[in-house]
Amino acid sequence: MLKYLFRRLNLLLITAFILTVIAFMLQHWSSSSIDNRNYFMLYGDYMANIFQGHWGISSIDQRPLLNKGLIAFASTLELCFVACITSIIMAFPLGILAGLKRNGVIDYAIMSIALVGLAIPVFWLAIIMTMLPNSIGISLPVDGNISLVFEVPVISGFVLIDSLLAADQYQMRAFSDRVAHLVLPAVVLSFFLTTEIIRLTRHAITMVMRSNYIKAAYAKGLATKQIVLRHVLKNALPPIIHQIRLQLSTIISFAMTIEIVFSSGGAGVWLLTSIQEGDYLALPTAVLIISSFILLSSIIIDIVLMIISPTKRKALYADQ
Amino acid sequence: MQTLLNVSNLCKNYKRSARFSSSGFRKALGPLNFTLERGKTLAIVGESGAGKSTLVQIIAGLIKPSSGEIYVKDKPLSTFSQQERCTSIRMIFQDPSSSLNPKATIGRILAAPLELNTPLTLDGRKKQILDTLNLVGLLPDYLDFYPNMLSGIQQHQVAMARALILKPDIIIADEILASLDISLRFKIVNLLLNIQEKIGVSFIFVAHNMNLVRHMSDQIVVMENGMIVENNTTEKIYKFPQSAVTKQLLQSHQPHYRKER
Amino acid sequence: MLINNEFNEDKIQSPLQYTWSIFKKKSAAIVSMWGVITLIFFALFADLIVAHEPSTQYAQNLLLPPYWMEGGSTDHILGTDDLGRDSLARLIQGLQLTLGGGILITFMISLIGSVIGASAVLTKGIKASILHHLLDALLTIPTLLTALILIVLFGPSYENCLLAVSLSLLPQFIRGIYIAIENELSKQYIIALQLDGATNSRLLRFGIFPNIIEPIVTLLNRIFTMAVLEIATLGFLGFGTQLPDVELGSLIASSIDLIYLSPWLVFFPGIAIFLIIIIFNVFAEGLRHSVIEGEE
Repeated sequence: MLKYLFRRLNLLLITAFILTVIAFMLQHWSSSSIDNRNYFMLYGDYMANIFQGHWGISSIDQRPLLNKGLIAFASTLELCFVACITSIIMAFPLGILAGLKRNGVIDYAIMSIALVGLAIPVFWLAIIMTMLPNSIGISLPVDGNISLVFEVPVISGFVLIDSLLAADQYQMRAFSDRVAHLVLPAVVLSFFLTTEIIRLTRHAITMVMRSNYIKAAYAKGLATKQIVLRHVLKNALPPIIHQIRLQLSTIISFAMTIEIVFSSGGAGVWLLTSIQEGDYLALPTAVLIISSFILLSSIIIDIVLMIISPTKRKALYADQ
Repeated sequence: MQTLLNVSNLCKNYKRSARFSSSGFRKALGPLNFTLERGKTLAIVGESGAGKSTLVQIIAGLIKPSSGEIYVKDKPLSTFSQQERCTSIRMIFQDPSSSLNPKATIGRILAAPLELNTPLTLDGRKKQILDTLNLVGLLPDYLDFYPNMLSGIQQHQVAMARALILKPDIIIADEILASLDISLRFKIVNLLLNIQEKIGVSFIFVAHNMNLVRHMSDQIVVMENGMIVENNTTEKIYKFPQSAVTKQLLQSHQPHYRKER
Repeated sequence: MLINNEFNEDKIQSPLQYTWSIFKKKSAAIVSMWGVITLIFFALFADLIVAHEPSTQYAQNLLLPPYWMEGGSTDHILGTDDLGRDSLARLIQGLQLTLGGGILITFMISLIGSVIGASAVLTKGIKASILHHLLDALLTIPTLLTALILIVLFGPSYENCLLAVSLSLLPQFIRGIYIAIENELSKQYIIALQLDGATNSRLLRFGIFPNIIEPIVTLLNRIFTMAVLEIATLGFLGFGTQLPDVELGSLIASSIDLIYLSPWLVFFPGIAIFLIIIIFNVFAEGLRHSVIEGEE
């Protein structure tokens, strides 16, 4: 176990090193200052600054980049998180159903929906969604994070939490306004995510259903429901989680695109405006923040997977 | 008679902590010493995990030994070129259904070693392939077939043909009989002995079934924990087993418990 | 003779022929195959097909709806935009750049990625290890961010957009093909081929690639889908093609202000992207299933 952790940590450090080099090169290029010292010295300086929290100052509003980036990314994460939860709730039952009734009518129907979900470009769906409230006559906000009347102080960066914390000021109005702002972007993102999870679940379930221990469970006289709950889910879950882990960066990409369409202040809008205004230092900051988030969460997921699934634990002993 | 194969002080150690990721689960092998004469059959027996497979893989050239040397016709194997090695030692794998490329015809599979290791022309190759097929008892019609179209025993015959086609001195067979049922096992064994009689090739068998080993082999090497515990002629091993492992192996194939009639 | 010669052709088919014979029986796959051919045909010969020049402005026909709507004209089947340009012509031009870009990227990635992936598997050791960590690092940077970085470095243009998308997808492909080849390397028939004295190129050509067609199809399909989506996304954000060229994403972006006035200007390019991806996915899925069934 310790050995495994050590190995993961080793991987983490090397990958993090490569990332900081990329960020450093970007920084060096975008600041375009003439410095005669060699690159190693400059890199050392850069890393020292990073560790002390001096990530640079935004040229747009003179605020520290680290702070700005973290707040923007927190809002993106919030969107991802909400979308993930809703799509898991929707996609799991559908995927399990499709996997159990493989090659039946239900399977084909579910998989067709999943294919449609993959094929619709997210930004296009987002645009259509901005039209939706108007055309079906419901009132849902289609732009921004939260209405400007609410001045929610930034505490955690996650607007949902911050608006809850500001409850003594606005009661629950700020929170419900935030939720209303989140509905449409979350629907768009979870549309993509749901289809992805449906596909992964169906694949994992069919793989598990083929194995002999499921046949043995049937032979034991267990009902399908019991088998799914007891055996199938336990064995199908790790590969699904593993695949979602690999898709983290795609999900974040899409979330950023959606935010741009809904012009709600997240990492997407922040980067876009920074680039348009010529504040290129935002790029290395974004690389460091987003990539280290993805890196850390993948490693945490890896470790969790290893704890919950015995087959992965075997990798501990494998001679690799 | 010239000694065909001479294994001398062969060792295989696994680096324990070259990288902290590697775990010390594989055991070291050797030092091993034994010889094999031309036209004879050597059987390597032992419990699973005794290092039999590693040993034959080293001889076949799949794994590099850490120290020691293997001599084929008094020439060290490490000085052999790939071609010389192929034409002197060939290997038959355990399971032919996975050792034959599913996307290549039997003709292709058999032609490949000839193309790579001999200067034969197209006609020469064709003749060689037909001769070898004849030797293992397959019809030339099978040349255009893909492996999955053949039955298990036919796949075994193709695998044998692939090993025989370069006319090697030694053929290594890694538990090839395990996946066959009894009647087919005897068919393959008799086929192999027949071939040995015809072309005088030496065999190295890795085997479990002691009855078959007795039937086939001239010499037996018994292994335990990566070491040779006994090395003698088949006759002597069966009559006067020395070590505990040998006795146990012999016993396990002579059932005490029989159905009462 | 063992085999009656009359049935010989039926019995022994090469894997390719066999796969094709299964593929032929799937109606959805065949339909999608013709769809793919039609799309590629459109992309190649767009200029010859369209009745109007994409850039010609028909000042008397501004914001014309599609012909089946009230006020539409059969002259402009899908209507016109705010400058009176023919929607269909612009759509097909957009299709040309988006689909063409997607196919080009998939092709380039499969070439470069296969070479890198294969050589990484076959040359174990420090080089492969460096590659791995580099890929790991690149995989953690979201595609959009990679694209933004490259575009900031080299400026927005269609070529740079393609480069950005390729660079962000290349690690995924290399990783995929690396795993596929590595799985294959441990198979016994590969070891047997190595014992036959096969060179690495021969090993790849005859031993490995014929046996990893299924994962490659899946991988290429994935890469193509993501490439089309990303080209369109970058075009939409204004980092792709620059005027006067249009691409499906930038077509949507340019008509987004008109969404309430004439929504079809936004609808049609989106539906075009949708159709491209659906058709190619159904085709790839049909191909994959045929390959799997052929192997069983």
